[in-house]
Amino acid sequence: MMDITMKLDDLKQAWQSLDKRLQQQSALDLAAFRERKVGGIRISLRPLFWGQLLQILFGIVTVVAGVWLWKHFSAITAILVAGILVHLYGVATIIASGTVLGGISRIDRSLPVLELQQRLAKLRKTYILSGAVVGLPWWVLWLVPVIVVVSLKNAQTGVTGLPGWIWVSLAACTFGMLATLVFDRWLKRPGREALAKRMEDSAAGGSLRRAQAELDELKRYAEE
Amino acid sequence: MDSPHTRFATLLDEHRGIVLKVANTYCRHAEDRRDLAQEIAAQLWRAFPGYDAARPFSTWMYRIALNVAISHLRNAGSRAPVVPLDEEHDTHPGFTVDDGSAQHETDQRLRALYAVIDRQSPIDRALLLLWLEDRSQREIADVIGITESNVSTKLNRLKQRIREQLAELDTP
Repeated sequence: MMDITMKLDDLKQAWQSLDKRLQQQSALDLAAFRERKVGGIRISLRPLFWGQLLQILFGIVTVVAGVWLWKHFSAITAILVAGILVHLYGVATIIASGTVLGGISRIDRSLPVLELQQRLAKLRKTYILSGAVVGLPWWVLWLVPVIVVVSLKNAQTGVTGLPGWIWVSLAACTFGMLATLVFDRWLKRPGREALAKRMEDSAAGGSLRRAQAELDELKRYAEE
Repeated sequence: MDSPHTRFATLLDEHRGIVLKVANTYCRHAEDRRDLAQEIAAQLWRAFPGYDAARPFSTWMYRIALNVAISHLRNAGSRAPVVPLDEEHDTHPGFTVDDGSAQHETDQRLRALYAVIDRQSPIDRALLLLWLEDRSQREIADVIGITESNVSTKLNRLKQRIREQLAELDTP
């Protein structure tokens, strides 16, 4: 408990006395700004920037691989379809990474405070969604090399159609991918906050919810 | 004609109080404050080529300083926890022992000020700082990025919240 009763105007007096004390302290060496390695907003975004560039490179390689597959093996339906899927995945990866890079380019520290915070929150959300676009299809994509190898072997031996276990795996993995999406939406319903929080550390959904909540809060702040 | 570095150093020195006060608002520990102040100065220097001399330097400086400070706070891990008023703020500048002097009364007011600041969200801290600095509503709107009427509404709400918080602090 305080010995004095503080009123709102007292805060301004306290602020002025703080100003005097800070001016008296000469410990801060602001002249070292030129030599200082710049951190803050830009440094924390640098790994993201390079990561997205690498992802674009990966997307390009994937597009090339996909085109090669459907172009050279157009007579084998399974490989044709696999090639097209890989091609589309590569394009989606490039678009997702490009969107994140676009978000990074719009980060300017001299923007008004609320606007910059909104852009940062939107960038966080875009990054998380981009991760889902790039990551989720691997439920199914890992089967592509298996399908290619089996189809080529079938072409040599004259066997038609894919073995049953591949269809079962494809169905199971597609179900797994859809179930991940449905489960994430189910977690967001009211009454499941405790379970959702436990899943946060392992699932991207928690990060996405936090990013969206932050965006919503900033929007409310701007509109109130 | 002065070099950009000389011009910047002059402007920074004239407005060093802004850097020190923003660092003090967003950091509780002396080492963090020093680090943040130097980070703000470095970011200001980096952004200086983009500064439009036709606009007030203080507005430009507040935006960058506050943006850097809010990011710093976010990286450090959300809002600073609420600190009980009777806890020793030994890392804040120059608190003295209770000797009944005017100095001690000033210290008490500063403790209350810090307690109030610590309870605000990062953006409301920015709003509070600009109000304490007697900045015009127009400048506050320009720095925060809201309309002047929105500034007025938010300041009224902030002041009401602070009155309630001060009343809590005064309650045994």
